[in-house]
Amino acid sequence: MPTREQRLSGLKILVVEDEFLVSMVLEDDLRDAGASVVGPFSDLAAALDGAGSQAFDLALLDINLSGTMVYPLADALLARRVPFLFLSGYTGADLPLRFAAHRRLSKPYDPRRLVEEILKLTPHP
Amino acid sequence: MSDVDAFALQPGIDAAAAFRLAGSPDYRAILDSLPAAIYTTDTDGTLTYFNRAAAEIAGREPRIGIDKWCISWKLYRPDGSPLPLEACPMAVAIREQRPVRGVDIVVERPDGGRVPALPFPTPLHDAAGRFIGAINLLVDISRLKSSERQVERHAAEQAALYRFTDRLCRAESEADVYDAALDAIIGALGCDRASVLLFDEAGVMRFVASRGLSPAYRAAVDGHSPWTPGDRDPAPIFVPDIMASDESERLKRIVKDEGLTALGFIPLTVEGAVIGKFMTYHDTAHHFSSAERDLAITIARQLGFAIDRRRTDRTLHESTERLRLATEAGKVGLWDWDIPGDSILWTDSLYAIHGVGKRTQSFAQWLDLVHPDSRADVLAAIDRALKDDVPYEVEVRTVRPDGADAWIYTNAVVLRDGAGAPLRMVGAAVDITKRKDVEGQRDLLVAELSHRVKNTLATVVSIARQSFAKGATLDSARKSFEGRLRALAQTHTRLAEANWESVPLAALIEDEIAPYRDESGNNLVTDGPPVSFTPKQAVVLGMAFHELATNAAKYGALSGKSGTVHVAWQCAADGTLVLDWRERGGPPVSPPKRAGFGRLLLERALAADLKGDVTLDFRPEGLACRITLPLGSAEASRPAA
Repeated sequence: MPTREQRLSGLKILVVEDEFLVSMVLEDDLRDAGASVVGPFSDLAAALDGAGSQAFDLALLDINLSGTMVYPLADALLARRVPFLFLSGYTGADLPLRFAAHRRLSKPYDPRRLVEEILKLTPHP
Repeated sequence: MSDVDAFALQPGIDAAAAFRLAGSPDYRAILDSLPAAIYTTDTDGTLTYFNRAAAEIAGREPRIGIDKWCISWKLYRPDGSPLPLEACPMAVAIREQRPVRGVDIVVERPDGGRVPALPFPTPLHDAAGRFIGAINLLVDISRLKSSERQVERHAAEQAALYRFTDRLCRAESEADVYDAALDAIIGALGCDRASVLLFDEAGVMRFVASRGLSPAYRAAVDGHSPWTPGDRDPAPIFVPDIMASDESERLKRIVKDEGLTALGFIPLTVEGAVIGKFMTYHDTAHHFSSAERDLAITIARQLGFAIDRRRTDRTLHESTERLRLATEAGKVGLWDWDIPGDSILWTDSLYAIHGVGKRTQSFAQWLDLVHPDSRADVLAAIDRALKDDVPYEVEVRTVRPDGADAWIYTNAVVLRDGAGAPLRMVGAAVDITKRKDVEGQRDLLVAELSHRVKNTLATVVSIARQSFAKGATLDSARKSFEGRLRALAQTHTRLAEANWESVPLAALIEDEIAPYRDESGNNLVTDGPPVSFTPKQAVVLGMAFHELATNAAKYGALSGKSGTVHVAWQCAADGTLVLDWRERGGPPVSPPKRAGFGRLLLERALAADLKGDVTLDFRPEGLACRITLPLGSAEASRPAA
C-alpha cells in the first residue's frame, strides 16, 4: 500500500518462510513499508547460505521449515548480534529454553504489528 | 506384733496375786476400765471373771460359772473354718498348762459380726506352783487385720500392675493388650466385670474388648461416651449406684437389666487427648476409694501408652513396608546428603533409577549426572533451600551412563544444627521419565497443532489478499475466495481423516472436479497409479487442482456441455511424478492477459513449496498443464504441514 508511511524505508530484511503464499504476503507487507527483502528462503540450507552471503539489517524467521527447525540460523544470528524476530505458530513454551523469551510474532500477524515489532529491533528512530 | 505383745502378761508377775486381786472390787474396776478384753477361768475352763471389753468383743453377756473356755459363743479360724470352743487357744493353754501365743482367732458375735482377735491365754499357778486356772487377754485386731488386708491388697495391686506391664511388653497383638488390660482391671480394681472401648475413625466409642458383658448390653451402650475424641485430660467418672445417678432412665434400665449397679469410666489418653476409656462394673453398689481411683488412672496410663505404641508400631510398620515396596519396585529412591562431609548416600532403588552402580559419591559426582539443561535450575533450588529455607522440590533431567535421559522428581528437607547451619539434606526421588515422555509427546502434538492452525490461517490471509486484489468485482472476489477456502478445507478434511499422514492423489483431484461431472461421467477421466501426497504437498496441490478446475469451468472445457478433461499421471523410477491436465472440446483458448491467483499458485507456489515445475500451455483446442513433482524429496520432509 503505497499510501502508508514507509516506516521501514532503507531496511534490508532477510525473510525465511517455507510457505509461498505466506511469504508472498510478507514480502508485500515489507515492501509496502519501504523495506527491501533478502530472500525469501524456504529451507534452512538456502537460508544459511543467503544469511552468509548477503547483507541485511535484521531477519524474520519462520521456525518450522518443512520439518527442519530454523534454530541453527537463529544461533548464528545471535552470535553475529543480528536482530531477528520469529514469525511462527509456535508458542514460547514450544521453543528451546534459549529462545523461549525471544521476540516472536504469532501467525497470522497484523501487518501494523509486524512493522512495530521490526522497528523495536532496529536502532532506527 | 510387738505392740500387741506389750499387752501380754509379763513373766515374773505374781499371777496368783493377780488372780486374787481380780476378785476384789477395786481391782475389778481397774480391769473393767482396760480397753483389752480379759477373762479368767478355773482349772476346768469354766468362766470365773470377764471385764467390759470382753463383753463388748463377744457381743454378748458372758455367763460366769457356765461358759467354758471362751467368752464368745462361736469361734472361727482366720481361714473362716469353725473353731470348736474346746479347741480354742485358751482350752489348749488350760489342758496343757502352757501359754499359747501367735494363734489368731475370729470371734463371732450373736448378731453375725465377726472380730479378728489375738488371744494370750496364760495358765495361772499359786505361790506353791499349783495350777489354779487361766487368764486370757483378747486383743481386737480388726484394725490391724484391715491394714494387713490393705497391705495384701496393695501387694496384689502391685503384682497385677507388674503382670500387666509385663504382658503389655510381650503382647503380640492388640487382642493381647486388651486381654492383659482386662485381667489387670479386674485383678487390681476388684471389679466384677470390665471392658475397653476406643473411638473408631468416625469418632464413635466402640467396644474393643470386654469381660462378663452380654452382647445385648454391649450393643445397647455402644457409642455411649462422656467424652468426645481429643478432649484434654478428663477426670475419671465413678457412679457408685446407677439408680441414684442422674443418668437417663433408658441407660439406668439397660445397666440394671445387665445386673450392674456401680460403674467406673476411666479415660484412656495419648499425650493428654482422649482416645477411649475402660470401664469397671460392680454388680452391687460400690464406693470408689481414692486408692482405686489412683490405681485406675495408673492402669489407664499404661493401657493408653500400650495402645498408642501399638498404633505407632503398626503405622511405622505399614509405612516402612510401603516404602520398601515402593523403593523395591524401583520407582522411589531416598537420598541423604551429608553437606559438611560432602557425601551423598542413596538407596539401591535410586542407583537403579540413575542407572549407575553403587559407589560413594560427592555432590560434584552427582551433579555430573544432571543434564546440562537442568543444572542451573537444580543449583538454584538447592541454594534457595539451604539459604532461604524454601522447600526443595524440583524436576531434574538426568543423563544415565547409557546416554538415555531420565527425569526425576525429588523433594527434600534440610536438617540444620543449633545455629541454623545446614547439616544434611534428606529427600525422596521418583522416576518420572515416562510421565515426561508422555508430556513431551503431548506438548509436541499441541505445538504441531498450533503451528498448523496458525500457518493455515496465514495461508487464508494470503488467499484473501489475492482473491480481493485490484480488478475483481466484489461479488466475483467473494465467490473465488469462498471456493478457495472450501478447497483448502476439503484437503484438511482428507488429512484429518488420514491422521495427518497422507492423501491419495486421485482423491484430491476427485474432490475438485466432482462438482463439474455430468450425468454420464464421461466428461472427466482420471488415469494413473496410486500416489500419496504428504500433508504439505496435499495442501498446495489441492489448491492447484481447485484453480485448474474453476478455470476450466469458467473459461475452458467445463464451461460448455461438450468439453472433457483428462487427467493422467505416472511415476518415474526416481520418484518424480508427472501429471498432465488436458482440456478438449471447450471454447477456443487464448493465453490470459494477466496472471491471476491460479497461475501464481501453479507456477510459483508449487516451485517454491514443493520444488515442482509447472508448464501451462494455452493451446487453442484446450489448456494443457504439466506438473512435474519430486515425490521423494517431498516425502523426506514429511512432518511439515
